[in-house]
Amino acid sequence: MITVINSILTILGIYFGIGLLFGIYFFLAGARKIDPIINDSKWTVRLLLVPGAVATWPFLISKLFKTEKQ
Amino acid sequence: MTSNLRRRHLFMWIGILVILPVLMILAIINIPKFPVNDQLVEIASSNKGAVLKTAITDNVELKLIEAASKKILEIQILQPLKASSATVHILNDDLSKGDFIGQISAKGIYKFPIEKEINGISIFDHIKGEEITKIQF
Amino acid sequence: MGLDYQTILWNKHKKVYDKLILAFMLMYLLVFAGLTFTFNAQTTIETLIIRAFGTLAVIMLHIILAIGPISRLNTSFLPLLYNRRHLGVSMFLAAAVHGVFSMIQFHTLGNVNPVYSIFTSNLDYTSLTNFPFQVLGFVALIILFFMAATSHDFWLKNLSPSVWKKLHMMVYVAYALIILHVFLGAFQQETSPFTIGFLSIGFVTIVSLHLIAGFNEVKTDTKKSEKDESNWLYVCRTGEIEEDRAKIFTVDKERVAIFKYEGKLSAIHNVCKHQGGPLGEGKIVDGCITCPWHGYQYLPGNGQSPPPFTEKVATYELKLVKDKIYLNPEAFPEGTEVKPVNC
Repeated sequence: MITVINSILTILGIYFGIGLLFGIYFFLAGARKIDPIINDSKWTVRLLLVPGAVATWPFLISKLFKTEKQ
Repeated sequence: MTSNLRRRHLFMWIGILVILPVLMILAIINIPKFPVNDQLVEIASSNKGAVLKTAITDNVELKLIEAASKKILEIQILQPLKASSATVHILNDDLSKGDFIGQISAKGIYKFPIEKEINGISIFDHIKGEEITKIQF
Repeated sequence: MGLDYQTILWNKHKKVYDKLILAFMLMYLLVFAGLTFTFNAQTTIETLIIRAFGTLAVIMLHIILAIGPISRLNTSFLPLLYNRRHLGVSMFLAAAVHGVFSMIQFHTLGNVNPVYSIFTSNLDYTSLTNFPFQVLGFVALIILFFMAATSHDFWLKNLSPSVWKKLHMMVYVAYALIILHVFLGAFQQETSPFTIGFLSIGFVTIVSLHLIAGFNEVKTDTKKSEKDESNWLYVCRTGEIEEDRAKIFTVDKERVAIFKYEGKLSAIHNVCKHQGGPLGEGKIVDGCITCPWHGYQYLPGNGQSPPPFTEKVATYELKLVKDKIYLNPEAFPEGTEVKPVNC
């Protein structure tokens, strides 16, 4: 049981750890690449969106790679 | 909403309707139950004896009564115990949990026949596996 | 509909709703604190905060879950549906206060990581009665975090409406976890019949509302309509549709909105591309069909959003026999121009 709990919590920790790093990148540059319309908005909007980026980073990274390829 | 989404919503709620009550009922059924002592009623009806020892705490009052050459332990629960399954045990000399006496639940008076000398009781939460309180005469 | 993103989408109505939400939350917390200090004066401030915010979040979750089916059963509740987002985020914040304070109160005393302590302080995972109920609350809070964090039009667009909707339907899983969390918690901490009683009433109400609304929709979806010799379906008479409004009609389990405007009739698919809002419940504003949920617009003649927007919905062909409207059940590809029928 303890090993299962340990692995779940480690995965959760890694997920949110990477999420946090991605969140910083998202705030500084990523948001603009994902959706250029965000350029017309204030920086507070990007700040408000950071928790969402922390939560959904795998999806956003795959989206970024797809737009790069195009 | 598309019809697909509407159907998914409906199935989710049917699932919740079935699963949650089943889990709740199973949880209630699984509260440990202990056999009630048959002698209780008989002794309880004929008890007007001498009080040998008493003890009182914030939520429990204890009396050891002797009637018709039998000893009865009377436990009065003054405040509801915040546990779903509480059992009463004899308190050993080293203050550890001893023999099982009976089960108590809501507020009220409980009477149990006692055969040996008793210095106190331990009330034990059987779901959590930990002692709620101990009372000494 | 706007082109740029804003921090929080506020208009006059939304501000009023948000003030009401805030007032309700403050009132509840004050009343809860007052009652606790009157009847249970020994309660510590931490316990009070944990219980007040926990119960507040549960009540708000019930209200949020009731809004959907209630507004489908009675359209006068629709304004609540359009303003559900802020209520949801507020509910998450209340739940987060409850979670963080519980973690501080119960899991920061030892030398282990508090999150680890939630999962390991009670290892009775095989028991139904003594299952570690805090774990259920923790998982529910993570789900609510995902939902609250993505409660913005930016996420709706960039995660795509279908992924977004799937993510937000996780609220049902969170609801089930929270009900069990409260039920087992009440059970293991205190055997108060009130908690279990209120919880049961709430559960029965929410489930009944959803099932009644859900089965009503199934009935509408499976309604058979009259066909003419060329297999076109009879909708209704022209007089039954109000000017600048629509009649919603079911074709093969999908809904079509037939709009009447400027002496003309046009039919488009009822589902808005933005978030699946019911276009047929909206009005024609400035010559455009306007979604009642977020104001996305479509031209009735071709189902396309006016430039610079690019949303497109399917269109349908209509014909008029005297004043009876008939619809061709075969949809045209999204954004196809269809000549409106004059009536």
